[in-house]
Amino acid sequence: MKINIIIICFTSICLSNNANLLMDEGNELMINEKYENAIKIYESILNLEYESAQLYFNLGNAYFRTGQIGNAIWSYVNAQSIEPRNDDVKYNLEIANASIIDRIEMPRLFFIIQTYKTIRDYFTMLEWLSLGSIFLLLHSIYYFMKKLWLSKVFRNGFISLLLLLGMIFSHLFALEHYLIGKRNRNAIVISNAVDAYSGPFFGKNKILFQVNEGSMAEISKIQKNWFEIVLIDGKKGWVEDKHLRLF
Amino acid sequence: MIRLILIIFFNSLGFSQTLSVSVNKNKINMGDVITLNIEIKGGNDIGEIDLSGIEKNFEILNGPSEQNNYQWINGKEKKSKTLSWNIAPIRLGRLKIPALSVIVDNRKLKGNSILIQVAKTSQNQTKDVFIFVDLDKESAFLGEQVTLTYKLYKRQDINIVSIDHFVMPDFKGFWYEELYTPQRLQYNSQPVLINGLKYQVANLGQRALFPIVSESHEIPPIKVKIKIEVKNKKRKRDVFFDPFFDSFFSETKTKILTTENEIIKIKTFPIPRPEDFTGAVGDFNINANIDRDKLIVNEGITFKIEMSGTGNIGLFSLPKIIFPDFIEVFKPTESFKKDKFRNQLTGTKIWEYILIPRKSGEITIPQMKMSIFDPKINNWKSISTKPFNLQVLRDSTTTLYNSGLTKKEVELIDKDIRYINTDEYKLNKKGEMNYSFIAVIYVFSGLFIIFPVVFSYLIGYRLSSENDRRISGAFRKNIKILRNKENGNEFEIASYALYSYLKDRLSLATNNLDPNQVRIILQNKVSRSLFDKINDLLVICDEGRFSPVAYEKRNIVIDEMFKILKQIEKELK
Repeated sequence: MKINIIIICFTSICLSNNANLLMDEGNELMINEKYENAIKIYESILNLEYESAQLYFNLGNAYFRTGQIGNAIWSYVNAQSIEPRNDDVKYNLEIANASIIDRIEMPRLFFIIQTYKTIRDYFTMLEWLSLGSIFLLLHSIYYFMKKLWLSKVFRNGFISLLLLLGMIFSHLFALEHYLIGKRNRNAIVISNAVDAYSGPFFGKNKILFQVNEGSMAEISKIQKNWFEIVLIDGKKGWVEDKHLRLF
Repeated sequence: MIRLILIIFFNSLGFSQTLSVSVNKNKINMGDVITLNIEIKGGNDIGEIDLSGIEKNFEILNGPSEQNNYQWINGKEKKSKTLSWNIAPIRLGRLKIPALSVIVDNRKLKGNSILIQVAKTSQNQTKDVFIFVDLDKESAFLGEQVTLTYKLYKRQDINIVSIDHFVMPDFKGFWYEELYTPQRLQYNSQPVLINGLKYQVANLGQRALFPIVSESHEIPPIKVKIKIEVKNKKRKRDVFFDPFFDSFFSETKTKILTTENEIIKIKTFPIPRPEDFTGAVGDFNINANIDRDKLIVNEGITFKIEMSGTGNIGLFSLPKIIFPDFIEVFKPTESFKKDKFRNQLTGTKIWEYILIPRKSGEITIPQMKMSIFDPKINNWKSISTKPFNLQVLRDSTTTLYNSGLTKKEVELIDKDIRYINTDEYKLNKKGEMNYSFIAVIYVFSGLFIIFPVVFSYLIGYRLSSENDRRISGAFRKNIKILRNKENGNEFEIASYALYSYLKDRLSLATNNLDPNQVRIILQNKVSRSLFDKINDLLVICDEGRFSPVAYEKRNIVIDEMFKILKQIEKELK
């Protein structure tokens, strides 16, 4: 009852669009270990179309504390996409990942690809774009100087090349981030023992495999309330949408 | 006289042993018992009697019983020993008891052979006593119950004194369950009429037989030995035997009763045979239950399947139940309760599974379906249990902190997540990114690039001219000239390369450079040593062009010039 009243109060606050107040309240509930309520508050902020790495981080903690690993990972991954270099987020995500049941062993990527991915994910798209634009600015200043002063320093093609490469790669990384974000076909399994069927309905379809909470999946097809998911190890199957949470 | 002496002599030596073999009757019916007597007179050391010759035609029921006889006549000892056996024929016709031999006092004595006529008990002849295998059906399906009862029939006026315990045969090709075994002979109160004669019936034992897969389904004959009282009418009138004592001194007669060999035919099951038929034949009900429907991860739950009914219960297994993967299933314990009060094997069989779910969530224990064959309706029947839904809750104490961690990532076992962040925060509208900063930078970059172009266009001052390109390309261009040795005189090439280089590099207007001019131009621009070197080389070039003396140096002049150009390029920078 009490909780209901609190929720009603919060919805009224939501209407007044005061997301910050909700955030304060959510943090307060977290401190008092009322995780279930905190989740409701944080999710309501997300419903208001507000987000921040901190919000996702705290929400992830609340989910983790209530044992909902799938949702916790979802939150941490979202937090990480906003603040990729946040150490706490990274740490908690590792712990949450250690708690999932399905251990899909990934073949080790070729180290160049691995390095590429590490570099790419070190900055967000906005950061890469900013970096690229700064490189562009520096290069154009360099060009400007070269034209204007004819100084020997600016005749050095090496610096120019360096700036040019920096600019190109930054923009490529930003572009890739943009494309990944636009595809947005990743989801996380949020229920345990989810049956993946061979077709998008129950009935005579065979259960191909089972996935558990916390497993990452890529969505390849959508039909009504069914998703065809592809797991990291290549397994494909149809799963009801209620078991998944999209990024 | 001599004979007499010889006889006495032989007698004293003990050579007076004789062997006689006799039977009490030699014309008998099948099922009658005869007594075989072997009497040995004299002799002290009597060896084993080999009866193996008899066993071909007769069955030895009991024996030997021994009887020793000592007589003293005129101070002489007369000794005889009688061994007797009860034997029963096992075949019809003229049967021979072969001559038996015994070793007595190291002498082999041989008796006579005896012929015995065994007649078939005629069908018409009403039997006073007989046993009978009562089967409730002649043909059955595999697994269908056949009830077998051994029954003893006797005329009312016949008195059976005793009946030997008999052994139930091996029912080859059957699995059997005991239904009834009498403790003592007990007749039904209601007599049965056969051919107008009243018989009393006793149940000697009842078995439930279930045919199993086998080559033959045969019920072998059994033999039962009984003793019946013989009523001797002569004696009744005997003065010495009071009728009152009749029962005490009644004579008995041993009789062997046999049953016939019975064969059960096996019927084939109707086609198609369902896949989930595991051999259950009869009429069964199946029921399953679980002890609760809500539990916590890693807790056990009992899943019980109860099958009750009539049929070959206990002779078949359950079809394999496919439990969800993450449920740990222990081998079921089976228990069987037999209902003994019916002559159809009835009972309840219980399979008890212990299931331990290893994951939380909604779990369905699947339906178990199996086909049974009902011989009553001569067709298949499908029975099934209902599926169960289990609610497996998370373990609130362990899942929070280390669910799964224990097995998987050892290094993370004791670690907990980091605490929430309550610093200053700023919430942003989703999908809204601040590009203004980047946009400004792009505009500035664009301005920087465009400005020189616009500037030079507006004021006509070429910031970057052809001259610049010529300056930067001077060195490379003249190195090329130097390398291209083919066209002409080395000295000319060398000096031309230098002049051309200097002209380009220093943007000189003149086309006619000579050593003097070079000296003036380079005087303050290069170091002293380089200046001298250039000077020397130019002299050599000039001389080489005109005098044969310097001509010898033509090989080194190109290389020298190359070095000098490099040096100048370096110093002019």
